[in-house]
Amino acid sequence: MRAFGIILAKDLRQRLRDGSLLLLGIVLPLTLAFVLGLASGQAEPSAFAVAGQGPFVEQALRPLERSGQISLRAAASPEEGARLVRDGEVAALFAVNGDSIEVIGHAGQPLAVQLARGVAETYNAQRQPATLPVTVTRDGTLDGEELDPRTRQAAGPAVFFLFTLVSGTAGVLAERREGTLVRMLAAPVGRWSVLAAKLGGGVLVGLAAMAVLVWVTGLLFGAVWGAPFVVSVLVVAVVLAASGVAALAGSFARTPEQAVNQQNAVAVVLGLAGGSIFPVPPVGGLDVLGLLSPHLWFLRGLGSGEVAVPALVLLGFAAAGWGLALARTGRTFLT
Amino acid sequence: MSDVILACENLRKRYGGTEAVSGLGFSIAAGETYGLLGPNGAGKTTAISMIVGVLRRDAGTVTIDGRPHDVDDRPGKALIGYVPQELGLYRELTARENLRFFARLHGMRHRERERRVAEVLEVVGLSDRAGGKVAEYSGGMMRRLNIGIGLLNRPRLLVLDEPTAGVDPHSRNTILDSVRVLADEGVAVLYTTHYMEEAERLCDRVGVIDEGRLRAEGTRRELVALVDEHDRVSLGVDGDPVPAVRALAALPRVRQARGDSGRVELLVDGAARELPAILAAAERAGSAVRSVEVREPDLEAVFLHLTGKGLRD
Repeated sequence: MRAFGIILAKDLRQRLRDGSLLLLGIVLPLTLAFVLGLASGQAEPSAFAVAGQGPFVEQALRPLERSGQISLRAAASPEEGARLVRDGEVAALFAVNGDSIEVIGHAGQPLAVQLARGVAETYNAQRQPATLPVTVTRDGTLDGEELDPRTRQAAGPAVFFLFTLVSGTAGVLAERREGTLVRMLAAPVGRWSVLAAKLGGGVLVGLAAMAVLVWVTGLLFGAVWGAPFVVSVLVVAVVLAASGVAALAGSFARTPEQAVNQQNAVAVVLGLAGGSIFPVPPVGGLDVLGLLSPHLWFLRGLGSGEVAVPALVLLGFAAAGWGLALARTGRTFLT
Repeated sequence: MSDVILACENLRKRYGGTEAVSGLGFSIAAGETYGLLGPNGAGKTTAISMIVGVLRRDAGTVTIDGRPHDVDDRPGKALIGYVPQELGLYRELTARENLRFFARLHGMRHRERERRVAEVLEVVGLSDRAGGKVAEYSGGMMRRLNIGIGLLNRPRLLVLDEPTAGVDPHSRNTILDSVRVLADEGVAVLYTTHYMEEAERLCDRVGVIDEGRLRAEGTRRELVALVDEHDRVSLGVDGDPVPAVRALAALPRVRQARGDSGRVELLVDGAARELPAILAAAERAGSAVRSVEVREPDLEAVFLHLTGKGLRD
């Protein structure tokens, strides 16, 4: 335990000094969150269809149309509006009747669909009392997830860069190449504590970075991550999962550079598949592929507030990744 | 307490189908400097890695100051100072930070640690640059710091693996003098090198290692006696040396002959008497001799005699 702390402190000092910790852990996730927020706010006006009339159309949609933020196209019926959505002529349909608003979105335009949902929900929230049911259908990107755009734009980049931050495999390989690993192993410390510090240090770094990001994105972007208990459990689980997956990816490397490249490649693929940058449309089996990504389970857990299943799945990723990585690296480094 | 600090017997290590170390055994007493002399790939680093407890051995025993030693023997490791062949340094940290880190791993508490770090910086002559990043050091300074880390724990056994590789002559002399001083203070020193001159200058006893086996060991005098009065004769020749090697090997006083790229190396009984015959034989073989160098027996000749090849092959 003593060696674990000593090696960890040294690693932190090195990473703080070379700037990689702040860059990957804080600066890049915040920058990407900012850019995503900017992009969604400055996109071309989205086209929507509207079927039906009522106060929602006059009080919420028309003003947005007049200000140029959206364009509206009248549909004679909900069926015609749905056809426009299917054909891709509009991003979503507002099907309005006296009792409810139904948003029918095009799966390939998740940001515009989220905008439509936001408009409907905001209108409903401003009513006293807020009783108008708003439903969103045919939007595969929102399947099982209710994350608001601001939180998604904060949580996605955070978990995306987490996967590049947490693995210590490259560090182990660098220490071996530089001759410092044998020097540590020759010191009167437990051999496994050396490996644990190198590989497990990333977990603490990841937890710290995520904690900072949850706090800072709440302040800067108004992200609402959810109940503290749920967020804490999911953050711990996803950090463990990220470290396990990254350690496994790096365990196939022979040099530090290979390890970094392999970890980054896995991080990008899983990040995109899991919808951490843009929601994944349910086409071509991409949504099924996303189930293999810890990112998706983390975001799904945040969105639904349902912690048990996502956390268990994430811990499964962690167990599998760490188990296989230690079986490989432990044999390589400690014999 | 035994006077023998390190004793190893029948050390073996196999990588796949290759036996890197095969039945190696020797001992080192307090205050003694033992050189492990052999070419690159002879098994020196593998042997040392097993001795310091970095590498698990397949067979054999190692005792440090009389106690069995292996990869999990922390008290034994506390008695060893290890200087690896690679510069085991964190280049983005300062010299003082490097020393503090390894001192912590050796369990030194704050006051003792700071005192010892200052002492070691003084010993290796880096006190003035202790706050500078190692990345900005010269190669010689890095080598000195590399050795300094091995001294932090006041070892009873200091193990140096090719510590002068790639350093300038001045730094090499400084390093060799420092090692000699430590041995005089009672530290047992295990020193691997493929530089014959270092082994001759520094070591009380030398073990000649090749292909993982200890071919011979003893003092310089004892080892040189193995080659009797054989002198080393080095001929510079034009063209293919093979015909000359064949012709010279047939001479009665030539014990060994080999050649490569313009040079012929011979072990000869009484080179002074035999030299005219050697030159004549080379000429008859069609080799024009450009230069002649005659050296009395040394460890290089011993190695050649024992293995049939040179230390730098």
